[in-house]
Amino acid sequence: MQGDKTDRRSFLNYILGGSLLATLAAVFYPVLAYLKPPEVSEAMTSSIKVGNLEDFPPDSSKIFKFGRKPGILIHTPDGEFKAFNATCTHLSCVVQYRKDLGVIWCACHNGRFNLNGKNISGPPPRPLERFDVHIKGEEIYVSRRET
Amino acid sequence: MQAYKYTHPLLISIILVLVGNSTRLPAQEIQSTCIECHGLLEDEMKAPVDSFANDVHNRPGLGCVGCHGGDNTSDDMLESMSEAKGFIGTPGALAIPELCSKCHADPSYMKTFNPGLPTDQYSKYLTSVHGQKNEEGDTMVAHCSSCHSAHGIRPARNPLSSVYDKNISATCASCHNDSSYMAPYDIPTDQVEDYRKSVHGAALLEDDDLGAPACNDCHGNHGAIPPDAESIDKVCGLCHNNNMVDFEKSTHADYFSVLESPACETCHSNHLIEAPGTEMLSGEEPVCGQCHFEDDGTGALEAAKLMASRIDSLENAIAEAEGRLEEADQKGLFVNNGLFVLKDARQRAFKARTAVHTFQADSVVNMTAAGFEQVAEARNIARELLDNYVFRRKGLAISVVVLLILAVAIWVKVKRIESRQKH
Amino acid sequence: MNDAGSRSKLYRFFDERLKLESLREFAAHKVVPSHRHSAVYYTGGITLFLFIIQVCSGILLLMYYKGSAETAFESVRYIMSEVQFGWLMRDIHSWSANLMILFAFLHMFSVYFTKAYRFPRELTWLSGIILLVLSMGFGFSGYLLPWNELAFFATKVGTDMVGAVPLIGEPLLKLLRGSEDVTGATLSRFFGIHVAILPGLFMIFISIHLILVQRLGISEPESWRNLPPERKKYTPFFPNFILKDLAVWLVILAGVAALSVFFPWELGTKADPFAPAPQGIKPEWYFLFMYQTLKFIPSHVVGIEGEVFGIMAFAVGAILWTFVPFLDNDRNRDRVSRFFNFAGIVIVIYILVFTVLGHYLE
Repeated sequence: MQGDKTDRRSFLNYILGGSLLATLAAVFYPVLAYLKPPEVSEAMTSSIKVGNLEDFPPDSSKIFKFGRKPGILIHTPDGEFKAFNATCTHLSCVVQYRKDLGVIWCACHNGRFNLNGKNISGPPPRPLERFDVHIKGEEIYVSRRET
Repeated sequence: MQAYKYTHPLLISIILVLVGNSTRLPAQEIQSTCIECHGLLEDEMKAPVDSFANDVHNRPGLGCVGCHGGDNTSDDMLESMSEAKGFIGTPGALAIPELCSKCHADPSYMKTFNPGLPTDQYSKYLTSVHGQKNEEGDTMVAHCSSCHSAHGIRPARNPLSSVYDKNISATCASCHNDSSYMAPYDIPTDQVEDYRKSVHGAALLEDDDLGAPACNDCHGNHGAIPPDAESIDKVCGLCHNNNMVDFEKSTHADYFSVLESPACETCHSNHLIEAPGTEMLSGEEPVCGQCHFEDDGTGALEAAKLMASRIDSLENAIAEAEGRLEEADQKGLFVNNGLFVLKDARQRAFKARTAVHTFQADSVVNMTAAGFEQVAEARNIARELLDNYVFRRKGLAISVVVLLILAVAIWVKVKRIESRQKH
Repeated sequence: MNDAGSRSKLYRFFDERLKLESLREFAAHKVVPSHRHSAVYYTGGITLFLFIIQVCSGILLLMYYKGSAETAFESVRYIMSEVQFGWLMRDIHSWSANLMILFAFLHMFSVYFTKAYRFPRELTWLSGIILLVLSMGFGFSGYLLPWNELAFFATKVGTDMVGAVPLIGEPLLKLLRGSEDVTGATLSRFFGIHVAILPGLFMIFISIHLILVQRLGISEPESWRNLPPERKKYTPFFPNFILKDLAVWLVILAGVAALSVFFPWELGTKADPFAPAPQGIKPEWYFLFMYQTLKFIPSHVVGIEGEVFGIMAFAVGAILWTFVPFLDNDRNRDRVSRFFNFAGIVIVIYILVFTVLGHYLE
């Protein structure tokens, strides 16, 4: 009788201890995982790294993901870096840099923007949104413009 | 040059008035006896006064006498509207183009008003069907004021102008849609109605896309001529550049030219251009069937079917992946990354549709292949998200069980303690 | 129980330095009355526990949240999409906030109807009212922080009410918003209020509240007043009640987790100050009864503007409610006491009805 009671008590204590440990795990596992910095290291789109200088010879371009929208970085023949929102202001196709024409060009309806993003021919009603380009050492960063 | 004759005395009178009352610019023509008298008349004699208030020519130096001649300083009707003062009355349809050209074809004169305005309207007009018939003495064809109005002329960029992008189809329709008016000319009168039903008409008139073409964007405005078989792909290519380039490089370009089939129009029609779909390639009556037939040795119909099926299946795959992402979205998961990838895939599908104009099945197949890869990536993202959703529920179930076991165990423990305390 | 002699060296070390023995004495004598309605004694503890969850999850959210108009929405989206278990932290913070207010109300009304606010506990009631107001301030300021459309316009409507307060309304509105309108300046202000000012104040008043509860002991029901001591039953606070509290808390934690998984909070679209207000913007549920009342009041009452009248009426009501312990403090005046019971029931029904109306009416 006495032994039975001790057994039950120790069984209860095992349950208590075990579930307490499990509870702590259930609470601290998410917390520790939460504290681990995610792979996408910056909390959002005010500025992102597009690439390294060596990847961009003059007269080249790259489409990159900026937040949820595509952006376009252009190294102009004059050696300047320029970046724009790559969504055409006409019907939202993605624009591209045309070396042969020296313009930013939208394939959908032949809309053209000059290298300052200004709409110069075709249907686009507005210029492209301009981003700022910063160069830190060898790395190229693009950031949204202060309004 | 002739115009100077009217303007010089006017300018002087204006300067005199401005000196006398320099703080206020009157809205109407200054000291015009034309306006004064006609303003007191009724109906059609008064109408020009009212509409001229908003006319672009209602400004110092022009005004009534700029076109009609006469003397707007004299309040004697016999004098102000005398031939001696150059009064010409109402210019007839045949005289109007030349009358307008007196100023509008004179670059140095136009510079003093609007240096940005071209001065080739009249010379272009003379090349147009309208202009040629007008020259021949046909008073029914359009001349300047048919489209621009006579006394309420506004710049083309003004949304109230009869030649503003969105209003131009109605302006052309006022003649070209009128079968009795057009009867002598033996041309169809359904163009404007067709245009309004087309992708272009819908985009411009319903969706307010001012980049979409109106009548004049393909036909020209002052030099209005229907584009012929040789020039049509250039006209369409103004906007649909890639389609044009692909077409011109294709074998079709030469054959169409020999057959005198107009490039784009043969498949897409002219005014009633509907949003193109793969049924044009693989439907009951494919447009290719106009020339090709089965086993004609070119394999054209088979190639068309292949292109259509690849494009269709890519678009279906995109829709399906989108559905999965939506499912994930409804479960409160974040699907933006997947949607971004899909946007790329959609761009590929778009390019694949353009690549149809190479009439090479391979180029469509290659273009869709890249799209399928992106769809697969989007599907992966969706699957990961949905897996994550299951993981959340499993994790929750386990945690809840653990918490409840601990809660029950504590409760039992308390009961034990209580029962011990009683003893 | 073991006697002190066999206690570990460790215990003795701390006892000598912290005087644990007197605490043990205190804990051993602390009791909780045991009766039919003992369940109400858990409401305060649950509210406290939810507050602790708020502090913990709030601190974790602060690791990634960026409080400015340009980054707030994006950072919350980042927390929810990129950070592992970020969605859980945000949903727990939101759910636990709502439940905390709910349990604070339950706690308040249970105190009200058991008349636990009477002598000597008037100050406990007062500090509790302050805590409730602070909690609602937490809710109101926190709601704006994700900077989404719904929060933006709800804040606009909510702060508009402040502007209707006579005399000080306008300057108060500007002080609260940090500008004429709800802008990024408002967000900065609300962020500061939410994570610095309110927590500071809350800690002060919750300390006072808890110290008072410990000093005065747990209130006994009115019906025990004439009971002979042998018929009064008590449960030891330590370890019985505290363990039971703990068990209930664990159930609450499981409930919050389940709500977070099954009913996640939407983020919606980013606030656009220039967009037209969407249809059906409403404040959070705990403000609904006031909001709905203000909508029902005609545009003019006895010569003053309806909204101003309503706000003044609420102010008077809130003052009366706050000072209830001083108005109803005489055990021997049963008629007065019954009036307060009756008034309490009317208020509860009023709040419930108007909250439901506010939820369903356009």
